Parts: sequence; C-alpha cells; structure tokens
Amino acid sequence: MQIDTATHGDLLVMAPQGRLDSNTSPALESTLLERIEGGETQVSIDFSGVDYISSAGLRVLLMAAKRTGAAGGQFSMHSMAPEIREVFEISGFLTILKVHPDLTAVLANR
Amino acid sequence: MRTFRARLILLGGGLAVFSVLLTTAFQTWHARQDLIHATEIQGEEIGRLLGHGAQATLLAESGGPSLSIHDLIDDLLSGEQVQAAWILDQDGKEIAVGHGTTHAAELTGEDRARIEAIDGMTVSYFTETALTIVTPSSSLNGGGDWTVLLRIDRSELDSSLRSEILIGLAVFLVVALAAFLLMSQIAGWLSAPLADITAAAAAMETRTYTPEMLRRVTARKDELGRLAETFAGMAREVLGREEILEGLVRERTSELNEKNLQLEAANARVAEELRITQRMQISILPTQALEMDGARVFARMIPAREVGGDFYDFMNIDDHRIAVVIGDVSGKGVPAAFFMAVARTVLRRLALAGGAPGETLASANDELCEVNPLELFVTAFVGILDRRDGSFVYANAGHNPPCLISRDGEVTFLERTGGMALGVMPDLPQGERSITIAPGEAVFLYTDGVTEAFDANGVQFEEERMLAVLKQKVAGETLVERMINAVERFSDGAERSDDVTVLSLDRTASEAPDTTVGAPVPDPAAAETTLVIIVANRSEELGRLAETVGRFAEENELSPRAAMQLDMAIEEIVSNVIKYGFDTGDVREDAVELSLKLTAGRLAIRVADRGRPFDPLADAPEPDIGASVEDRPIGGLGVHLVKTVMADLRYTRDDDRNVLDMVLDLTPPT
Repeated sequence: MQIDTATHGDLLVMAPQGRLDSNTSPALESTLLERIEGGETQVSIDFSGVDYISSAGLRVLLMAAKRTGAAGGQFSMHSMAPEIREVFEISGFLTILKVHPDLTAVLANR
Repeated sequence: MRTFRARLILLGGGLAVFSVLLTTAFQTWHARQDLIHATEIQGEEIGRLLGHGAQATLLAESGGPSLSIHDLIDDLLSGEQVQAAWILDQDGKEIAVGHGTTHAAELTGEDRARIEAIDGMTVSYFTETALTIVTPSSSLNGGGDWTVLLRIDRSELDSSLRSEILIGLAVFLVVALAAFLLMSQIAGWLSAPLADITAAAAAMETRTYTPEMLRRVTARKDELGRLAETFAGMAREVLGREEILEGLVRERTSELNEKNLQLEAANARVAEELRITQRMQISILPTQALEMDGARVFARMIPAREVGGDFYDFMNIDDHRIAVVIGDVSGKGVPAAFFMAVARTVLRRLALAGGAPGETLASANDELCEVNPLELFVTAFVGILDRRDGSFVYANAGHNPPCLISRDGEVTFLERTGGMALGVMPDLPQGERSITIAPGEAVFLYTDGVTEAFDANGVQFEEERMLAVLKQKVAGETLVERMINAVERFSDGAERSDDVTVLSLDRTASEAPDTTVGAPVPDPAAAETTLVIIVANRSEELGRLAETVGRFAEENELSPRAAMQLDMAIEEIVSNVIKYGFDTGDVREDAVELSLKLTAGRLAIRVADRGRPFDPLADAPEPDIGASVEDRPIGGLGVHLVKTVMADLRYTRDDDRNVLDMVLDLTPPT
C-alpha cells in the first residue's frame, strides 16, 4: 500500500492511499507504529486518499491513538470523505478520536 | 606520436648539448693554459731583459755610461701589470728589488723554495692576488746565473679568463638552442608519417578513413612509405569486405523482415480462422434454455484456446419427451471442430427421428465411420426423458458417466451401458439403461474438460471438486453457472487446454411439491441472480472478492456510500469466516458462497459458508462504543459495523452451512 508521509514541525502527517482493509492495514500498522515508537507522537492521518475502511483499518487507528496517548502525544485525523466519516461515527470512534476538516485545522488546534 | 617526437628531441638535443658542453669546457681550459703560457713567456722576456740590463749596468759601472738597475726596475714597474720585481744572484742574494707603491715587496717561503729549485727553466705559480714568475737569467760575462722573480697582478689575467668563459657559455647557449630547434624539426619530420598512419588507423576504427589521409606518407620511398602503402592496401581490402558484408546484412534483414511480416500475417489469418471456427462451433449449439412443464435443461460450453470438439444438444422429440445429448471429439483444432459439427448434426437428426438412445448411437456410429478419413472418434451420451413419469432412458458411448443428483444432494454416477466411442468401427451394438428422475432431482452431464481442468500449478479439478458443487443442491441455470464459475476460478491463470461443457436436466416439481425432505437450498440468486461468487477460505481471496463486488457496485451505479457499506459488510463477514470458521489447514475451495440480488432500492446479500456454526448476531460480543480511547478494546468492531449498516440481518443454520441474509437499503439517508 502506498503511504505518503510529511512532517510539519514535530507533526507527522501520514496519508495512506486507497483501501484500508484487512489486506492493506498491516502495512499502515507497521509503518505508523514504528514511527510512533521512534518518538514521533504528534500524528495526524490524512484521509483524503482513502476510499474505503474496514474494521481492520479502524483497529490500526485505535492502536495508534492509544500509543500516542500513552507517550503523551496527540493523535488526530483529517480530510475525511463523508462515507468514511460515517464508518467512524457508527463505530463510536468520533467520540474518542479527533477529526479535523483539513490540515490547517489540525495545525491550528495543537 | 608526441612521445616519440619528444624522445627524439630530448635525445638529439641532449647529445648535441653534451658535446657542445664538452667542447666549450675544453676550449675554455685550453684558453686559460694559453694565457698563462703567454704570461710566462712575457715574464721570461722581462726577466731576461732585467738580467741583461743589470749586468750591463754593472759593466757600465766599471767604465760605460751609468744606467742604474733601479731605473730599469722602475721602468718596468711603471706599467700596472708588474707589481714587484727581484733580481737575485746565484747565492740568492737580492741584487735589486723594486715595487710599486701599493704592494709590499717581500719574498715568501714559497718564493724561496721555487728559486732554490730553479733548474734553468721558467716556472710560474698563482697566489691569492698574483701570478709569480721565476725565470733564470744567464749572465753575459759568465759570472754565474742570476734569477729574476716577477709578481704580476692577476686581476687582469682573471678578467681575461672570465671573458673567455663568458664567450664559451654564450656560444654554448646559442649552439644548444640551435640544436634543440633543429632536433625538433628533425623529430617532426621523422614522426609525421607515423602520426599520419596512426590517424589513418584510428579513422579505420571510426569508419572515416579515406586514402587521402595517407598520401603524404605513401609518396615516400623509405620503409615508412612502404608501411603506409601496405596499410592503405589492407584498408582498401577491409573496407571493401565490410561494404559487401553490410550489403549482405541489409539484404538479409529486409528479407527477414518481409518473411516476418508474412509470418505475422499468416499467423493472424490462422488465429482469425480459428476464432471463426470457434464461433461457428458455439453457434451451432442451442443457446436458449429448454423450460418445459415438469423439466428444464440448461447447458454451457466454454471453448478452449485452441478449438476443441465438445458439443451438447437438447430438443423436444414430441409433446412429452426431451432428448439431451453431450459429446466430446478426440483431438483438437479444425479437424475436431469439423468432426464435431458432423457428429452433432447426425445425432440431432437421429434423435429427432425418435429412436431409442441405443439405436441412435449405433446408427450414428455407422454413419460417422463412413465419413472419418482422419480416424477421429467421439464419445457421446444420449438420454431421453419422459416428462410424464420421469423415466429416463440413456445410452453411453464411452463418455464420462453423468451424475444423478437427488433432492438431498446425494450424487450418484449413471451406470455405463458398455458402448464404444463412435467412429471407431461400424456395426457395434450400443446398450441402454433406464432410471427414473424424481421431481426435484437432476441429471448432470459434463465433458472431461471439467474434471481435467488444470490450475496454474498443474493440479486437476477432478471429480471431487465437481461433486462438491453438485452437492450444493442447486439445479438448473444456477448449477450450470456455479460449475462453470468453479472451473474458471480454479483454472484462473492457467491456459484452458480443453473445452468445458456442462448440461443440467432437472425435473421440476410440477405436481404437489414434496416438502417433507430437504428441498433445494433456496438460492436468492435463483430467480434474479445478479452475482454469485464462490471463494475458498484463504485470505488472498478477499482481494478478488472486493474487486468483484466493487465492479458489481460500479456496474449497478451504487452510491459511494452504499458501495463502501457493501464492501465493508462482505469483508467483515467473510474475513471472520476465513479467520475463525475453519480448523487450520482445512482449506476448501467452496468455503463461502456470496450472492447479491439487486431490486429497486434494496440489495439482498447472502453469505453462506461451510465453517463451524457461528451466529454473528448472537455470538459476537457487542463492543462498548462509548468507552474512552484507553478503555476501548482493539478489535471486535466488524460485526457491529455490519449490524449498524444493514437494514435487516438474519442468520440461519442450514445443514452444514451458516447462512447470513442481509439487506442493504440503497435509498440515500435523509
């Protein structure tokens, strides 16, 4: 799976591309958790390139939120399509994970 | 040629410079000797003059005019050259001494030693500032020999020597320069032909050589001229040969290109002809299903890449009898296709004539034996069903035995009738058998293209996989589609080497339906199947599944939201089945069957799997979606998502299958 990565100051922005399903999520999991363990605990996931997410993808995001929280960091997501947002909503994730409209909002809310 | 030229210049110039240096050094040394010698002679002269003068003075004292010896010395000293002069008698006593104002006049120890050692010969020697000359002066009166000692200023002598050396050096420099210039000219002259030949050789390599390049050298009459001429000759020959070779290569290349084009055209023609043959082969087979009261027939053939010889047929013989035929011609390609067309036509004509299956096959055999120059043969099965009582009379000429599928999914092979394949030998009897097909039961006919289909690893489909599909208790078109689907999926990526042909004849329950024993699995796809997919319990299947479902969503213009929810529901449920439904290592090709049925505004989804009993609605733990990040367990979300997204969800356990029926509401949310 293609994962674009950028940094804005100490904020790590990861933008997975395409599907976040049980086949592709392990790739995001290893890349993301590795960076968090490496000390990058300010993380936002850019969803603009994601057109599908299943519970396997949700699992990775929850793990990332837990790890960054435990390390005293911050985890958020942004640029989410409505149908993706709905999945987060019905899973109850919107109440526990921060979702911003775009990167500017992420940077403003730090 | 720079090295050669430089070496020539260095060697020649160096030699010249060395010899000039030697000559100049010798000349300079020689000039110095000459100068000293001249000074000595001069000193001798002066000495002699002084001696004679002194003696004359002494003589004059005794009578002649008086001339002082001191005057003589003073005269001598008036010139700057002589600094001091001594006249000594044979005992070394000073008779007269004279010296200039700037120089002290004292005899040194060396002077004394030289005077004592004098032996009638003039000697000279250098001290720091002067040249001293000691010369004997024979007395005129025989009164013993005197000695004259002169000190001469050496500065003048030195300056003469210096100018000698300077001249020598100047001459040396001029000659050396001239030698180098001359040598460089000579070296250039010597190396130019070599440079020309080298340039010509380099030009040969880059193919820019022309005979002009060597004209200067070939004009010479020496060894280099001969070398250049030899080279030019070789170059001429090589160039000529290359030209011929290149011409040949060009010629052959264009010939090859032409041949290739012809081959390609021929290939394309053959491929096109094969395609046409294939199309014709399919077009002579019935495409419409036969659906009569009490019985129906569906069939399909997938042709091999090469043209094969499979065929099927079905027809109403009269008001209540249906004939089904399947056949497989040996061999492949155009001959097989041609023989198939003949066999199919003969069998159709005979079957329609209404004869018993055994008779039909026997007559067909005789006819085919007459028109079989290539000695092909065809295996064939003919069966006739009487719709009224379900009696099914059949004859099998060497074909794979068809299967009878009972209502509870039990599969038995129809016993052979001992017949030989058609076209081998005329006048052979064909046996017959008879069975009864009960309502809800089906007969399944197939060719070896099904059981002998290969996957990419060379594994065969075999009867076992075929039976697994037959036991799904489906009939008619669904059975045909599932079987074709299963074979195609199995042989995905492998080249299909043989036609694949299947035919299903089943008796529909036109009388009172029997509900006491297992009716066929109600397949939501049976009436309006829009998509049926069967996948194995391997996680790699999920990708293919998502792709197919995605295509389905696209083709049916589902909204992105609905497409995503459909995609998600299928992934969640199927991945759960694959992960948890089976024991490790228990891989089944028909593990999960997914069917989608689209009606206005609603999509019915059925996932039927052969895994261990599991009701996701009752058995899956409900996640606490209100929990905080820290408390929220990772996982356990999938079923919850599916439940939330689907408008309706029902689970049933059907014999050995978990069946989950879901309904996705396609109307957009308000």
